[in-house]
Amino acid sequence: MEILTVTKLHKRYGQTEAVHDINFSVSQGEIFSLVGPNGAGKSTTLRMIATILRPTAGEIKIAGLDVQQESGKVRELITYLPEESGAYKALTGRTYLNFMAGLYSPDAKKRDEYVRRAEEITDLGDKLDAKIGTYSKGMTRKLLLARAMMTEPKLAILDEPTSGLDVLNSLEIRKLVRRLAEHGTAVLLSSHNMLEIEYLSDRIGLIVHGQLKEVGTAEALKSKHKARNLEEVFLKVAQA
Amino acid sequence: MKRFLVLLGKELRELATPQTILPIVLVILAFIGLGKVLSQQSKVASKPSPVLVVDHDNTPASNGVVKLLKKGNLDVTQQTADPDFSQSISEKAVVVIPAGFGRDLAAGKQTTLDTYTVQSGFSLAKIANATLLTGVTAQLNAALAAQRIAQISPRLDPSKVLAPVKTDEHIVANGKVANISPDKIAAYLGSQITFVPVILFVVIVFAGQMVATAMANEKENKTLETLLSLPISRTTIVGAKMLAAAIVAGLTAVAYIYGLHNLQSAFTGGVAVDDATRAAANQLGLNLSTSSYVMLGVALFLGILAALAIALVLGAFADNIKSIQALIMPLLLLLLVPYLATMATDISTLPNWFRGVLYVIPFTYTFQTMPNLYLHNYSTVLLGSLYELAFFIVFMILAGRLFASDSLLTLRPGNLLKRR
Repeated sequence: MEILTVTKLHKRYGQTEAVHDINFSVSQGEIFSLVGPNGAGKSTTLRMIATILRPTAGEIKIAGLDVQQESGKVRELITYLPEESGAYKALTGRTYLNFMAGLYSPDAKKRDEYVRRAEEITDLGDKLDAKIGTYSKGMTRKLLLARAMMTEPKLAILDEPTSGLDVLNSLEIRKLVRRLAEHGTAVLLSSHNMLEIEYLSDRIGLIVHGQLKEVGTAEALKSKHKARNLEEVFLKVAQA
Repeated sequence: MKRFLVLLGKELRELATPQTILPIVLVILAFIGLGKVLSQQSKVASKPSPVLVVDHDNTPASNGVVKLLKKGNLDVTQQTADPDFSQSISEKAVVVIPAGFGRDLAAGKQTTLDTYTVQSGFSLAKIANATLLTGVTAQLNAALAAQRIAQISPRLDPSKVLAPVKTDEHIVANGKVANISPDKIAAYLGSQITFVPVILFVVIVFAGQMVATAMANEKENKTLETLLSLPISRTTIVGAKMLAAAIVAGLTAVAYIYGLHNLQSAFTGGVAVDDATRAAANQLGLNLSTSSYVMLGVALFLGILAALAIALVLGAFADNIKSIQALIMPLLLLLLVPYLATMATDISTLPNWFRGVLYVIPFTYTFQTMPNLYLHNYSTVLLGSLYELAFFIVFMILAGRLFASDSLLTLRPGNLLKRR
């Protein structure tokens, strides 16, 4: 079942066309990764899907809802983890999770369930009662990912989820993303890390200069371009 | 509604941190401390000032001068030798009566008293020493002139010769007349009329900075994108930020009012207004009824809302907290211009173009509310409040569009007309 469909998507900033005629879809429980160099249009695409930026043209549908016409309902179904996101430093980790859960559900039982799930995902224990301002980058990222996962959304949009993290933290976060998809969430993520992409993704979309050049599984792409790994595929597509 | 409250709670937690509360507490403590010091100073100032009289004449006339000086609020000490000004002296002023003073006066000649003011500093209190002997000299001249008139023509009443015209002062306000000095009424109302704009100025600047900083914080801490993707409307985000800033600013205002009241009491020495002045003010209708207080409250509230809406729009273009000071400048100007204009000038006499500029700024109406209420210009107050409301609505629509557009992230003001 398709959760996300993107059709003929365009985004223009003044004279610059950041995204040009992008089409793809993501199914329930699938991890779809957007790969591309800096400034290729990955984050702009994710932001449009997350209802933050308005497309210049094209259509985005999430669970059948039009992102532009029904953005309020769409936000109930998605969670978005921006690339360089932070949390409110004056709050404790637990207060932050309670605050976020309260925004997703006014029902106290549901809210508690979300917070319990998030606590389990973060595995931060008593540190959740410390101010977020005292957290390391890895702890903050885990907290944010837990926030993005706690509601088990229809679609999780994760922009560079392991950006700036060490190997151990990155591995842990990849496992969490996998687990999220196994629970039925459609995951759309972007990353520069080809190993991560290959490990996580069911399908991959290669973006160059705002255009989606290739879409397929890692194996299919490697086979099509006669490449040993995704980096070679990416290089060939980018230079073509 | 529940989501709005959740967001409001977060905004309040973010704003009411020790870093924001501590400076407020310190300012209030400073006001109270300063008030206590000034109050002690005004008690010291009300004590008789020490004056040294050097009498080289020692005649009944010179003794009369000394008696007159003692009748004033002066602590007079006498000596016959000239003081050595190269040494420090404890007196604030010195009066030297020359030899032959009595003789010259008796002969009807104009005579001279040498006065010396001891300038030991340049604070307001020290500079006030310069006028210490002014009143006494005038009294001395009046008393000696009266003596002279009585000597020349015993049939004349010296007081009528010296002041052939006396004024019976009246004041007209709100179409009514009261028999009282305008100075007394001005002093009675002045403190109240100037107090409200001062508080308003402080609160608006504080609230404006707070809401603009809240926006900049979201960007600097990289929380804005997440916030915009949450299941809450942009109007809820805007409303919660504004209400939180208004609540914190309101509480700050109450605290500042308490602190400033202490400070102001020190300046006025806590002197109660006399019954005659109060009765005259009531007779003139120069008082505020319950409905006037309601109108004042509404005008102040709308003024604060207008400032918050402007600050929110300005804050949306900040990419970090450092840029807030520069971005908030237009709001400060919008406050400062009508504040100074209404405090220092009569707006009706200003050039038309400048009056036009003032009437476009919503805070002009806020600053004019108190005098307009005292003068029963209720329709002006109501029209001003309606203008403030319209101004607030326009800026809220602008803020709503800004939050619903790409401009919040791209920092470009374009595309505000297109909404999500």
